Amino acid sequence: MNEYPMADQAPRDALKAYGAPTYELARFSVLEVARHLKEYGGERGVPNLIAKKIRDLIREEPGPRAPDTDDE
Amino acid sequence: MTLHDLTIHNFRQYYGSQRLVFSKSASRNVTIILGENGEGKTALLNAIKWCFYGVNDLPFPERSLNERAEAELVDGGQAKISVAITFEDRQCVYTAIREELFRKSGKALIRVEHKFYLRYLDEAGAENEPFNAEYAIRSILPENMHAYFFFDGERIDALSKKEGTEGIKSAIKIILGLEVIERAIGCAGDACELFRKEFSDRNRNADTARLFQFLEQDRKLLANALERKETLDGAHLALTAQKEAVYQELKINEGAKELQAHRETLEAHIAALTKSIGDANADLRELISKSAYTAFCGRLAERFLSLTEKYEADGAGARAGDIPPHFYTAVRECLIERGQCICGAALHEGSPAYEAVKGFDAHALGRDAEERRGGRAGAGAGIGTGAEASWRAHVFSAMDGAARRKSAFLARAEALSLRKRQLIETRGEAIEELDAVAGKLDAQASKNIRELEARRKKIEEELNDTLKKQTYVELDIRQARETFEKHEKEFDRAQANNAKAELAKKRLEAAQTLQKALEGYLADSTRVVHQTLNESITAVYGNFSKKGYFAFIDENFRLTVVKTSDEAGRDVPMSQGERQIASLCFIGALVKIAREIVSKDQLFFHGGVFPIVMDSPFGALDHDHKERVGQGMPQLAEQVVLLISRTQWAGEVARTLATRVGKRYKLVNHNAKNDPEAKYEYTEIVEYPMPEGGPHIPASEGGA
Repeated sequence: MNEYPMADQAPRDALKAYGAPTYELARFSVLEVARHLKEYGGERGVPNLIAKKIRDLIREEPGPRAPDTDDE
Repeated sequence: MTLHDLTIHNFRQYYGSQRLVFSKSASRNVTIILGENGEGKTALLNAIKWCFYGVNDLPFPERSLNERAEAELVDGGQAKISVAITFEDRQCVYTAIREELFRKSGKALIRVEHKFYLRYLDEAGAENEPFNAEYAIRSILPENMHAYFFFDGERIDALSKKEGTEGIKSAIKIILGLEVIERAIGCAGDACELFRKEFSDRNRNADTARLFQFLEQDRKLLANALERKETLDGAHLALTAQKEAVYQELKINEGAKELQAHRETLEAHIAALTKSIGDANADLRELISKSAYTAFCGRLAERFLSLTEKYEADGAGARAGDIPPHFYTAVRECLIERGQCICGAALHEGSPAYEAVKGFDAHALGRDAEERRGGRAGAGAGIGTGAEASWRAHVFSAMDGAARRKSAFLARAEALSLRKRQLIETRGEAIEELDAVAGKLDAQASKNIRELEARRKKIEEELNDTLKKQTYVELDIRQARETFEKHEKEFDRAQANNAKAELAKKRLEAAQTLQKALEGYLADSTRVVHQTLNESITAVYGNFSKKGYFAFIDENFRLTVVKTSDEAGRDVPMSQGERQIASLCFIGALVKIAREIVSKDQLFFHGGVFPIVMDSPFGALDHDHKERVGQGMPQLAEQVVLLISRTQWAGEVARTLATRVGKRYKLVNHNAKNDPEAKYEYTEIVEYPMPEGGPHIPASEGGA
């Protein structure tokens, strides 16, 4: 059974326009919620983590970008 | 999770320690626990839930301590209830222990301690405990999932009713991690809010186009003013040159040269006077800024000195220079009100400095005055810490000096003013004399001289006019420059804000896209999960079903059974027994999915092999349904534990399950009716092996 079948294509295409590897971002947010639920019993702080991740990916000046490993 | 054994101690009906071992055999995976109503079947099911999660659904959960154990307690004595379960999960053997300690106090029973342990053997074979046992057990089997693995068989039929859809939806979401995606969508939405706020904050007052327009206007105004200044400066130079030429001509003209020489001397004199007037003005300004205060504090100083003199004259041993007590009081109150001592210490209520100032009273003054008279001025307690003597000296000197300085200030100011007036007067006289020179030149017989003088006057007028214009244009330039700089700063700020707003907008769009992506992700995952679940239900239902029936979860998450032959796909009206079977199939499907996802990289629920522990599974079933459930039950999970009454067990159930039962226990209840010596009712767990010889069932259990 595929874990998250949809995650493979659509979100990745959508966020590529912003220079962010969407698939990684979506997966990151789900993983962060899961981690917080497990460790802290709630998703408090996750929105800030997602925002930070987006800030890192979309910067004012062109800076080093996380490698988009989904391209292959 | 495979259950190994359970030890129950003083929990509800169970007195002392009772232990049962679950069957782990693959071919005989069913453990039967036989007991009649009230003998402790439901208590046993609850003991498992209580041990793992601390929940107890039994009535009066606060009365969990066994009745006999409680009765045996003396006042102040303590008794413990505990449930320990040993189980295996992912090749690791754990022991979960939950216990509560009670103390008898008079007639009351007080819970004094509640503990939960989860122990396991690590790779080296040493006993270990996870950092947080409560979280660890929930990561093995989430608490909100336990209802699908440990449950009351008579109640599960609700899952196939309309009101069961929420339960089904929630179970699917939890077991397949969809719940986490839902929560991630919420978190992405919150991240959107953060960027939306950032964008709105940055976007405010960022009208760069309008500011740029202002800036352009300012630039033109400034350029224009600078251009005018340049023209005027040029005109001024030209006029000065023309004037110089006229002067030269007058100087070489016999009839005018003396007057012209005198004029130039006067002009130099007037220029020197103007400079002196400027210097006098500057001196006066400096004097006022440095010493004008003395004019105002002179009266205060006079009043202060007269007060101390009056104090001396009033007697009471006071001498000139002693400070009157009411003056101290006023100073003390003033210092406390402003919150700072004259030595700079902050006066917070309760602080040592505050207490010192507050305690500074007439008594201290009296002592101090005495000491001062004895030549030890300033040795006593005073304002602040020891600063009082120097302060007093400073005050007297300042008050004395203030009066002197006022006189000096007034004298100096008067002298400077006088000098300025004299200079102005002298300059006036020089100007008059200068006018007289001009008049004399005007009255000369020589036409040439008169014309030269007329030209000079005209040039002079034009020079004055140019000078005025130059002054105005300089003012314009200053104003234009200030406005330009102000607008330039606003423009830079707006541009920076615009860039940040643009960035926040991009990030907001990214967060919105992420949220949408996650929503799509959820929708598609739900579809796939739905499909997977239905495949499992179909497979499990095959073990129970009447021929030609088909069970599935519809698009509204309703558990439905239809006849395969019914092309319209209409629901089969389900009896309670049929509902129970359909619900069991759903649970069986969950167990199957949990088993299948065990090796996958799941985000939240790791999946795994789970047992089914079911109380009264055959309660409402007729013979036909009992037989079908009996046949299908061992295949629902790797391990099945059934808590069942003897009457439910007898007959077709015993026959269909005989070859699958690995362990069998009976609950033996002791009460006054069956045991005259039993003062308190309690239950024992007694192993009751299946008859040897395979599937042979005694007649008492429905066998032939």
